[in-house]
Formats: sequence, structure tokens, C-alpha cells
Amino acid sequence: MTTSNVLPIGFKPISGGIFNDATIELFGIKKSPVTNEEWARDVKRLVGEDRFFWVFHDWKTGKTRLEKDARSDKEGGRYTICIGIADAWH
Amino acid sequence: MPGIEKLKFDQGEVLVFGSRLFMKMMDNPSAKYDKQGRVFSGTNQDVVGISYFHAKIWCLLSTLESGGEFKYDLPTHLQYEYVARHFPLDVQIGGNVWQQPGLDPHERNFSERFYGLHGWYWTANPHFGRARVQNYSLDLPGVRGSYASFSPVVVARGQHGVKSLHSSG
Repeated sequence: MTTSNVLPIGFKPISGGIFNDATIELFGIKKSPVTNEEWARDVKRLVGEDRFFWVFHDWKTGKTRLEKDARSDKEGGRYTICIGIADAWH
Repeated sequence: MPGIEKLKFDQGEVLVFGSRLFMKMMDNPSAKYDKQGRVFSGTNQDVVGISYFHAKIWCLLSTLESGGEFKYDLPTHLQYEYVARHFPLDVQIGGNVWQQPGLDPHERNFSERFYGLHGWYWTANPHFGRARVQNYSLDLPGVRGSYASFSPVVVARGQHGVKSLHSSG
């Protein structure tokens, strides 16, 4: 991050350095936690009506990625039925 | 059916199928906690009732929206401590949730509520000051509901790979 870069509104540039024997690269951080108003605004803008997502998370590495949008909760619902059956079975 | 876990999550829901999760993004997850004497859903209050993965999706989608100009993410444990130690007056890491009437900050198992979200547990109570952050910053994300919000970090173009927009640690 150079000084010519403009951070998103509300973010503060954090200079890098050595901390706890590790190198901290330059980054920006939002100056205050995300508020309800910001969350609602961002969700409406970012996801629109497609509120359902399939996400892949590698529990070993901590990496997360979006796999695809889902049109409705019906996709998850099909799995829920399976889980319900499994729960009943166990 | 081993490896499959279903976790109810606030007004939305996170279904966990091993490494695959099915989730819903809600407009106002904080409303879940609104009861008589408790109001968490005010416009200027920090959002609560989100999981690590909800916050993560926010970061991934924001990165996509920027067209690769920025990469948004949740702060790492190291970044969090670095900011808390060196920039405490410039970045707000305290909040007002614990000041809500009817919410006992000494509630048992409260630490579970912060599981997976790195810190930002906004407290006016000295018992839960910044020095305790490390206790609640776990490496593996959880999917529990939380009274904690999040403060995303961002890295500008040139410091991250555009091709890796969908992957983030």
C-alpha cells in the first residue's frame, strides 16, 4: 500500500512493522466496527435478493471461498431433510 | 451421517456439511437479540448476531465488488493485536453492546459468543478490556452466534493476487 492508494471510506492505514517477531505488512482497518446500518446497506447492495450461499471452508488451513449463489433455501432444505433423517436414525 | 452438523443461527441459518456450508445473509441479524429492555438493532449500533462466515462473506463480496482494487478480510490475530497495541486511539475496538440493560457481561460461557470473531468485543466494562482479546481470538473460525461485530481490514491493489479473490485465509 503506497501513499497514493486511497483506502475505502472509514478505513485507516496501518503502517507495517515487526510485532511479536513477525512482520506486519501495510494494511488498512475500518476505524470502527460495522454498524447495523452499514451491514444492512452492504448486504442489500452486495447480495441483492440472492441471500443464500454455498461456502467451502478448509478447517485445516482456515481458507474460505464462495462456491456459488443459491436461489433459495430449498437447496439447503434438501440436505436438512437428510440431516433430519440421520438425526432420527441416531 | 458423520461430519454433518446443523447449527441454527439467529434469523439466518448455517448448515454445515463437513467443509461445505449453506448460509443465509440477513439484513438485520441484530434484531434477534431485541427484547424488552434490550435493543441491539439500532442503526448506529454495531451489528451483532453474525457468525465468522457471515463476516467472511461480506469480505469476499466486498473484494469482488472492488474489482480487485482492494482485498477485504477479517483481521488476523496478529493484525488485531498490533492495532490494539499501537493504534488504540485511532481505531475503535470498544463498543456499547455490554452497556445494554439486561445483558449481564458476566454471563456464563460468554466467551463462546466471541468464538471465531477476532476480538472486537466492544466493551465498556474494564473486566473485558483489550488485554483479554487474546483469549477469544481462536485460529479456527466458529459458527456460533455472537454479540461481537467485526472491523474488516483491507489491502490495496498490488499487495494481493486478483486471481485469489475467492480464497482468503
